[in-house]
Amino acid sequence: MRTATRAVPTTQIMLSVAKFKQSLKQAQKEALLKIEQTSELEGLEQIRIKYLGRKGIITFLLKSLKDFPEKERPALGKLSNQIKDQLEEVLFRKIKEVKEGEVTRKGEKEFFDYTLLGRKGWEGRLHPLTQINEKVVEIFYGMGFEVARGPDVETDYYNFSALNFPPDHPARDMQDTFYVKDDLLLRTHTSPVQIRVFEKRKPPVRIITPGRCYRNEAINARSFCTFLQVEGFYVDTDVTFADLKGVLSAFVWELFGKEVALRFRASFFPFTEPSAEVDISCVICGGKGCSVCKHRGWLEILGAGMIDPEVFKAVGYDPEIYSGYAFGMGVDRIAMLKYRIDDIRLFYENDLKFLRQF
Amino acid sequence: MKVSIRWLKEFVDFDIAVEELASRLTDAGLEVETITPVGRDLDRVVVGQIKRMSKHPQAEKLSVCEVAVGSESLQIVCGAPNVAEGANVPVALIGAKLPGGIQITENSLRGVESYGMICSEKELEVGEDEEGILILDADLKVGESISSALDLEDWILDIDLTPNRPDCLSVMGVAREVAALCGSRLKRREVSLHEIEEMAQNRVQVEIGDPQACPRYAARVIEDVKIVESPFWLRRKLQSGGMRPINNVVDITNLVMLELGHPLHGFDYKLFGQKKVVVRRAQDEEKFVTLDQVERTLSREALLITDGTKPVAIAGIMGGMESEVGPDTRTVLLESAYFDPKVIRRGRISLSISTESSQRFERGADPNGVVKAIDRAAELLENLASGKVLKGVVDSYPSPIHPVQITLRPQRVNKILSTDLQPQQIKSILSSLELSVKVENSVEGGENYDLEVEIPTLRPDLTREIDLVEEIARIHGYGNIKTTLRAGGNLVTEIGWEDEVSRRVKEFLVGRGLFEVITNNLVDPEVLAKLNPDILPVSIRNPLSQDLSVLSTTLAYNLLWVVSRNKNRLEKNLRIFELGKVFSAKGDRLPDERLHLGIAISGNREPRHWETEETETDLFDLKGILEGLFEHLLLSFELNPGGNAFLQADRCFHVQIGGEKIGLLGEVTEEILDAFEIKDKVFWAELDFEKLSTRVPRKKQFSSLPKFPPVDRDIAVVVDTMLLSKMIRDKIKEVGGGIVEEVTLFDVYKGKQVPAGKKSLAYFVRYRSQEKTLTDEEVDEIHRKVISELERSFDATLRR
Repeated sequence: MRTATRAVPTTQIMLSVAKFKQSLKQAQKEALLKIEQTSELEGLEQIRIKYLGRKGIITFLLKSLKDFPEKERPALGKLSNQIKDQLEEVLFRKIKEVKEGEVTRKGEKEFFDYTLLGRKGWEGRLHPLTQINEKVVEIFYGMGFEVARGPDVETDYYNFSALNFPPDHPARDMQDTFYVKDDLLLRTHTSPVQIRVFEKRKPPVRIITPGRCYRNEAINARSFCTFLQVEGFYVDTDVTFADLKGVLSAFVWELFGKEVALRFRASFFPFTEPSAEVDISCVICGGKGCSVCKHRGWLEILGAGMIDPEVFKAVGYDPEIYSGYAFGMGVDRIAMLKYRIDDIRLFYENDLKFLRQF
Repeated sequence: MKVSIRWLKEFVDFDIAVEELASRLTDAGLEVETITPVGRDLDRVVVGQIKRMSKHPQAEKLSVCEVAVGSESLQIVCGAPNVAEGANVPVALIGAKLPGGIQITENSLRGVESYGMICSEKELEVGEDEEGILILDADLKVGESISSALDLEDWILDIDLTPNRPDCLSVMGVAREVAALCGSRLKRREVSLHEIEEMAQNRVQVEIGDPQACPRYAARVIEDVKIVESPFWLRRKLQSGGMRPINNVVDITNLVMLELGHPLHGFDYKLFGQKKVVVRRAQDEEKFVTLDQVERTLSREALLITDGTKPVAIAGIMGGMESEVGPDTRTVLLESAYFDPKVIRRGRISLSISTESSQRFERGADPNGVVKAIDRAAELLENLASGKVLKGVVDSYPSPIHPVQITLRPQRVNKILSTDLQPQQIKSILSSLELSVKVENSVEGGENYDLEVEIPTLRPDLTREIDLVEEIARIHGYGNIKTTLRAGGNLVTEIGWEDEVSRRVKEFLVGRGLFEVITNNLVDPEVLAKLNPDILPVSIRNPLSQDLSVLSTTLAYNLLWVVSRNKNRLEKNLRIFELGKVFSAKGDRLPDERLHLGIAISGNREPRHWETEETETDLFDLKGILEGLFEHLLLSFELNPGGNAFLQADRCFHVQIGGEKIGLLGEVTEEILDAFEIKDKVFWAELDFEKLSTRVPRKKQFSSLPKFPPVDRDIAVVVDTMLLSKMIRDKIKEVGGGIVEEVTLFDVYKGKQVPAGKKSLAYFVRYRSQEKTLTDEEVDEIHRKVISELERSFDATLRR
């Protein structure tokens, strides 16, 4: 909005030289002061119009020179032009100054270094084994499995005898066990939870049991004395080997992707019969053969089978009525495959540089 | 178990590629771990004959040989001690590249030109012998390639056998599987023996003192045996099975073991005092020197073979040094026996040894394969050691072990496997495994009949119907059983409460910038005792090492190590937690296992930032994490001084909910930090997770939002520095009654304007009523009361 200014006396006739000079000086003084005080371009433009514009005061005074006697005109003209030139110069300089000045100041005021680091606070993460464990549990949970748990320190009965390991059977060679007492040991698998559940419940039971297990094995890049296992089982009146293949296929596809192939091959566990090892096509090379799968194209990830009738007998289920399957997998191994970790010990060292990666 | 494909083909025909065979065996439960081709890369190695030999003019130990290699003769310099004129030897011609990488070029050995190399077994990688060159049979055709002359091209399958399959610990056993898997038939060879007139039973008697441990013992006597090195083919077979050749008699017993799976033992008959085999238990502390020249102290666990007076072998495990067959042996007493697997297992565990023999016996040999094995060995002794086999087997078998009969219901097979196999198919699978099937109980129409199956004694793993179901599944192929995905069953499942709370706790702590760690809870008892001297840990009887010999009683042990290790690796700032079990011993009973939550923080309060000054974290940071966590779980806690040995006495508190102690919070002592080699302060909290989770409210209930505006007041009081700020807060709440909605301490000040020994505490107080809008007058009145109560109770003065 324009500020109101005094009306310019366009028709007034200047008769007095003194008065002309006074008006001229007055306008000069006024204009210089205003220029001095104004720092916006718009204001300066108004000053220009007011004093130097087509109808401006200085222009008016110059035009009124013709009304003065001829002998007065040169001196007055010279003075007028000097003042006009001075004002134009000062005004121009000021405009230039303001233009430059505005760029600098405005930028400085609003300049924002958005590349500076934000205040992100500390980062935290779940351990990779927890992430995989939760994923595994979630998949089975979605298929109708409940979670059950049992103690880490077990009796020989739950860890071996009830699972059809006879006292002197060579299968116990496969289990290098930490013993606490003759009858107390650190569980070598989560299968004892099967027995504990069967003792308490009648079929149908469909359960997974994640938990920590222990093996008395030398510690190296491939094996550690403790590890996480997830065991699952399902008992009902009509559970078949085909169901076992189905549930594990669904699990593998959900965890590793639909393109992964499964291979069920015969194996031996005292507590299942028929028993199977389950391989998946190598997730690293797609089955072509690489160092991870030892050029076989297959990776062993699960042990499984139909629950042995002897196990049912131990818990009072009639094997003629009920059948069921069981399977178990190492969470550490799956995490190693999924994240391509080549040393199992890294999980238990908990170097932050490791934990940050997952 | 290592099996040579060539050897296998002596017993079964198959025309599939080795890889395919390996894959079928693997699918059927005989996991082939590796397929190793042998006898390859011998392109330019041929049979040569040494025509003439002369000493090397410059070198004593070298011979210059003229060797015929077919169309031409070559001059070859050779350094082997056993080089001899007329001998057939393998010759690597110029240009040959041996398996070990040696490239044969024209060469000059101390001035004499040599146009090839005469090779040892080792150099051709067909055996271990590197002492001298390989002397070949005289009837080989000179100039023929060595691979075809010696049938060297072969594959060795390394099979990882499960412990239930002792029958496959032999070439014959694997051949039986191959026959079943390839629809082929086993090739049987009849043993052809030429026994002499004299009866073996006149030379030796057998007396079994413990028929339970040794149900069967058979012996043969072979005279006029010549002890020599075994022929190349035999040595090669042993080597293919991973055994070292010794002499022809020992090698023959080992060969039969590899071939038929039945361990045999040969004794030097003349060292056999009483000419009588007596099988008995060892006595405790009885001493015996085994053929590996180790004197062993026996116990009742071991079963002994004696000659009536002194022991000659530990039954089924290892022979004795004294009665060993050696260069001077003339008459061999051959043993073929069957021992109880449990006895062999206990015996070898008590002696801490494991041998090829004990491995087979403890898994289960075939009691009815005893005679076949001894006859096969006798046949070989006749052929390869020019032995004379005395008539008859002296066989003591007081209570013969008979084959088991199993009834198999085909519909049971189909029910468990979800297959649709016809009884005929089932029958043919069983027959292919040499399990003889009789059809029984034929019902009208013949659809549902049971099969009566006789199990040969070589398959001790088959005792029940379910075992046969597995056999059918294996041979039918697991891959040919369908895959069904079914829903149904119990689809309404509940997440356990502890799992639910654990998920919330982990989510919160991770969100608050803490890393979850998982540690090994086997720890060092000495260090643990410093942390938790009062709790008796569960100790492992057979630990890997002393520093992994007890189960931890506190999560602090491992978390402090994680802090320490990370600091060593230049990770200065640690904020970590673990949700894990701790254990305390309860004698012979199951130990007490509790789930704990441990939290450790150390280093800077905040991550390095351009605008924030670095400050070291302190106890209030950890307390704040706990406060946040509890609030998140809709809980609150109090602290009470007191606690644990490894926390500083004045910086150590019980965390309590409603008076129940559920954990500890504090600062770790210098002494412990030193023990863990940590230089910075560490703050520690450990909560009993089970106690915590039972306190978490399971239900959340909505309460309506405030309808009336609050009135806010600040209040600053000067009180004794040693007054707990909580007292003031509680008092404000108490006096203000139900209308005090919030009391927040926002300033603590000591210094100018506050007298010595005093501190100024400033609180923000928010008043609000649920029923009406409070007026200034009403609030002022309450507020005045609050102030005067504070003045009265704590000698507080209002700071203006």
